[in-house]
Amino acid sequence: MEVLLVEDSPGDVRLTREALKEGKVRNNLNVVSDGVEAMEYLRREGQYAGALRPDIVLLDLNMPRKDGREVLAEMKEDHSLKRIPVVILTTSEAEQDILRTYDLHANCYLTKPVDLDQFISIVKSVEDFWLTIVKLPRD
Amino acid sequence: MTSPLPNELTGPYLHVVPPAAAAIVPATDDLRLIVETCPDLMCVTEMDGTFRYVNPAFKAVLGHEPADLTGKLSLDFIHPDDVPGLIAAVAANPEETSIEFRFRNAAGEWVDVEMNRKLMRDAQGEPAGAVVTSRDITERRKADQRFRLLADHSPVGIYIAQDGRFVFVNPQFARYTGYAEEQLLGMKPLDLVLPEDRDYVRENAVQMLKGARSFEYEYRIVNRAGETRWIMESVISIDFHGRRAALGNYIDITDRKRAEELQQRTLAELARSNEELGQFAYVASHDLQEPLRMVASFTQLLSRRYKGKLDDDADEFIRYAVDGVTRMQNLINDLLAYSRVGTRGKPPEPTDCAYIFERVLANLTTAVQESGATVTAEGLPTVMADPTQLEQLFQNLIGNAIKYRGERAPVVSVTAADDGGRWHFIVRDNGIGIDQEYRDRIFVIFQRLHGKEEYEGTGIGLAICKKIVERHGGHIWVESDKGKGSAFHFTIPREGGSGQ
Repeated sequence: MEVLLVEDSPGDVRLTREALKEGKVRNNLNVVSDGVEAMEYLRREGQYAGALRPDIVLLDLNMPRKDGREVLAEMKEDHSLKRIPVVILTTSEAEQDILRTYDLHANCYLTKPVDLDQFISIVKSVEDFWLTIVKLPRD
Repeated sequence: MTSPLPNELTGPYLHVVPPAAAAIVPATDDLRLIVETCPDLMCVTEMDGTFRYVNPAFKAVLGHEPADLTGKLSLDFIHPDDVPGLIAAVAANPEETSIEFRFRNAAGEWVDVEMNRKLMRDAQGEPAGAVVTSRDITERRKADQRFRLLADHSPVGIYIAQDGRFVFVNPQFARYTGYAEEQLLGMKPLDLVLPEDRDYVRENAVQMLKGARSFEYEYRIVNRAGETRWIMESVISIDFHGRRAALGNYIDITDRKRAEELQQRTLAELARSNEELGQFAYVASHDLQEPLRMVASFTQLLSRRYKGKLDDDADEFIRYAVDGVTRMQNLINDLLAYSRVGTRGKPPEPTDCAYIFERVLANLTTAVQESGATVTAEGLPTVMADPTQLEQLFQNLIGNAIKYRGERAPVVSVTAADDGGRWHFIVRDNGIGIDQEYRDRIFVIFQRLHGKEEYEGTGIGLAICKKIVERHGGHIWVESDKGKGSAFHFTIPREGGSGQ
């Protein structure tokens, strides 16, 4: 399974990587650190020409250059990208962020817990649900 | 002439009537009746002003017998100061003259009269005398004087405007506008109005003239010094010397308007400031949590990944680090809660304290069970308060009463009494008590009297209680002594707090 993690905090990248290691499914974690790189990766442009299409995107909201909301909007408007499930994984609990991202057709919204154990548990749940239970669109 | 002339309504001039009225002249008998019963003074004079005939009204109104007047010169009965004016008026308008003067009555007093004199011509068309009708205008004069007195001393500006110009202004009006009374007469009222408000004023004038009763509205003028002042005017349509005019009352409400504006600005400023503070608190806590999460997560990962591979010291160090982070996170959350008392406070509404008490007991179920506490309430009223904050207040106080217990199982009572204009609540416990000397300190943010090993908590609970009580316009204090339990008192005013 190809997982694309779009996250600007190196610490959170590392934590997510550690958490995914503890999961059931073998997966390939690809990481980009902002929205611009995310779109380049998804469109296989420039340095990402050889990139594989992700089965799921874990998307942070607040990033420099281009933030998660813009990436989400662009993905869901692009015929070739809109079927890819997008899981929002962010520190924000703001009501308007939740509403806005669901308006933009995010598949689900998760707030990063402060506690390590809970964080690991959430990432494993995501992996469990989206990569083993759910039927993914095969393009 | 020495012998009294007959007071007769005869003479050549009676045959001369104004041509226009020829068709409707009543018969002579009726004419006599009209003249003799008329309440106004009617007389006929020679060209030189000698009385030829006076009607009975002269007796009724002035007390003069006809014999006293007939054959006498009317000018002798007129106030010397008014005579020149009368003569000049007649000379200027010999056909018809209207003028006011003072006439001496039988008692020797001067009476104000208004006269209308019409020249009469004989059959040959020569001037042969005059018919004069007069009216006692004393009452009207008095009314005018009363109006004048009122206007001169009124703290309200008064004006009369006719044909688009001032025809009367009182001293206060002059003071308001900064112009002298003489300057204002003849000025156009619209010229005083601030240009932006002129259309509004014109519109209102039109409405008023259409017959709307009295009309009150506010607008701005520019006074002589160039300052803009707010005016509240009440204006009504009146009859002034036979034609329509506007009578206006005027007060300067600039101070009131400025105070209103200041209040609006202050409220807006306060709202904005609160909004900013709320955002700041949120952002600050949010951005502070992020690095804390990093520290906590990685130290925990460290401890987990290297469990058993590190020595006891390392384990201990990691434990202190994680513990520190956890406490930091709690402090941030508490600070946020404290700031929200102000920024997320709701306006007061009727709140049933008994219901709030039940909710708090439910929230504290575990603590109550674990400690074997007995918590009772009596006489809890309905008060004007923010329900969420009232619940926080009760929960903090009752929670503390249970938490800071001694050896015995906690016994907590909550009572309320009507204390004049406010409700006086007491939360009493049998716990460890507080030393007198710390009575005030405990309400200060983050001030604790015990280490975290003894009793958990950040020391913000009572600071939040104080902020909530004060936001509702009340007071909070404690009566206690070490080892002797505590009684926490607080008051809530009956009509609801300041609601900042």
